[in-house]
Amino acid sequence: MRSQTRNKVWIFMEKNHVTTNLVLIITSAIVLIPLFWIIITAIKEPAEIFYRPFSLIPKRFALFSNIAEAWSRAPFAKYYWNTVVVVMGLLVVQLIIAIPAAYAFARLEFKGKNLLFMIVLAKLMITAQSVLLPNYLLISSLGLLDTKLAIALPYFSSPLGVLLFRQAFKQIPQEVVDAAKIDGCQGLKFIWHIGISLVKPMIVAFSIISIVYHWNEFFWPMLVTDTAKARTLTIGLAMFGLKGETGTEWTLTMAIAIVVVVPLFFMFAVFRRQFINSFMQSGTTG
Amino acid sequence: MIKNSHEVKGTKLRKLVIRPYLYLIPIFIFLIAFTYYPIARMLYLSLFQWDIGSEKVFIGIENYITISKTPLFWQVIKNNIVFSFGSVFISVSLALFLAVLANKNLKFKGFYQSMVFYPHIIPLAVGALIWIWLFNPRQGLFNHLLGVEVNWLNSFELALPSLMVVQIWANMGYYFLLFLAGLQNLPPNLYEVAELEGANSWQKFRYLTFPLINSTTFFVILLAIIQSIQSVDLVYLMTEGGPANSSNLIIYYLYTEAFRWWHLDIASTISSILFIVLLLLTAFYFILLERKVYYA
Repeated sequence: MRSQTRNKVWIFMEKNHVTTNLVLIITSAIVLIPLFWIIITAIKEPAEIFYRPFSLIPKRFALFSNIAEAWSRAPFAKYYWNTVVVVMGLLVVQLIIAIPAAYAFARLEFKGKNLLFMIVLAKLMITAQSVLLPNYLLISSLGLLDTKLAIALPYFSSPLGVLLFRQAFKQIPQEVVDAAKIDGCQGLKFIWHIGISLVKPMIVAFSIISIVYHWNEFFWPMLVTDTAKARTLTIGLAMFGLKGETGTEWTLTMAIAIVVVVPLFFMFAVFRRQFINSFMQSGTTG
Repeated sequence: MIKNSHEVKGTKLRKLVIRPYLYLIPIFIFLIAFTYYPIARMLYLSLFQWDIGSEKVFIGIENYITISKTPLFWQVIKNNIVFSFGSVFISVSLALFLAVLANKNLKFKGFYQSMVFYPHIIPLAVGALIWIWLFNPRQGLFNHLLGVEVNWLNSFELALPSLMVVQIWANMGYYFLLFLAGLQNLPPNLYEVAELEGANSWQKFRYLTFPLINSTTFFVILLAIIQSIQSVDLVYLMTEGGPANSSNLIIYYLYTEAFRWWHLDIASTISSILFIVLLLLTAFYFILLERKVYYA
């Protein structure tokens, strides 16, 4: 009798993946702790983090006053603007440069194609960090330090973009290209009028990766900027959070941190599936 | 008339031959200017003794010898090996384990994906700040929960492991997605056969899943190693390499040599060594990949 119920329990657990769900829930909860703590801290009044005994639940909802206070102390509006300009401007340039190159690699025949493609792909492995110093010297000798252009320039040529768009262009059936050719639509005209709409899903996928990466970037922009003129959000936030002597005001810092991550989190919440697929693709094609 | 059409054909042909290269000109301008030229210049400069404003003197591999005799360089290398090995091993195996678990028809699969992946779309600068706050000796959550007063980031033994925890937290979700992508491409009928043969979950993983997603695993491990070698945001924001260089990693060391002490020749040499190491890693990966493809 008892072994029968035990069997039933076992079958129920197997059928509903109880153990699997349990492990995944616990993992999710652990990974979620920092986010949870950002939110709790950002809601608390500045003095409350010193209260004893320590409590997890804020006494008052002070999120908006915290944001307002932090916003007034540093030029965050300027940082925001800089970030948006750098991220969007860079994305447009990356697309303009990568799409024709990808089209050539996908649909045209020419001498040295494989070699040239390898040269483009090799950049996937040469990330910004390994060429930090030479790029800094170059930007400095061009007189571009402390500009938004300096932040974006090293990323204008995007090997990931070429890789993804090449794959997408390859999937366009030859009949479509031929039909367009008969109508006198080929080359750049074809890319602009027909190609782009055919590879649109890949453009979306690439845009998500590019936006996330450059919205979040820290070290290179920090290195090439000196003033609020070109600084981006991550740098402004880090400076606000780590200004040594007076000690960090954690409630204000976390409130501003929320403002920094909200646009991406909002996008992630709305286009969740698209986000997940983009990042999956970024690996499988590389 | 005939001659004329010939000419038309000629220009058309020339256009066809040139066109692909025209499409490639923009990307190659920027590739050369901001990737390959700087690298070449860096390798070249590492052979000189120089400073801002001073004459360059050719000294061959003298800089490399100087560095190899610097104890701090070796300590940083050692730190980086510990950091890379620890964070890569833990984050990749956890990611693989979770991906195999989640690769089923689960009701909340999308939810789990988001929960594990979200740290990857948070700026590492925000990640660093929140973890500094979590690790805070007096008001931090961890010490409250554990009932201790440990100074995590200021401890000679704990600073580097603390950075590893953050690195794992930030990247595991991305590796998890890459593994899921790899697992989705596996043929389901193989598993049906295995089940009919009475294979248990471990056997299915050991003899089917693991060999089949080999190339994904290689790719993820290489990516994780490269990311861990280049990790600098966390060091810069959380520990500044301290205490006593116990959490100093290669890029941060390079940064201090170049931008704090302005030892540009030494910094170029460190950059060059780093570049060569990354290149070898990549080459190694491609060789392995080719071998595998060849034998399969």
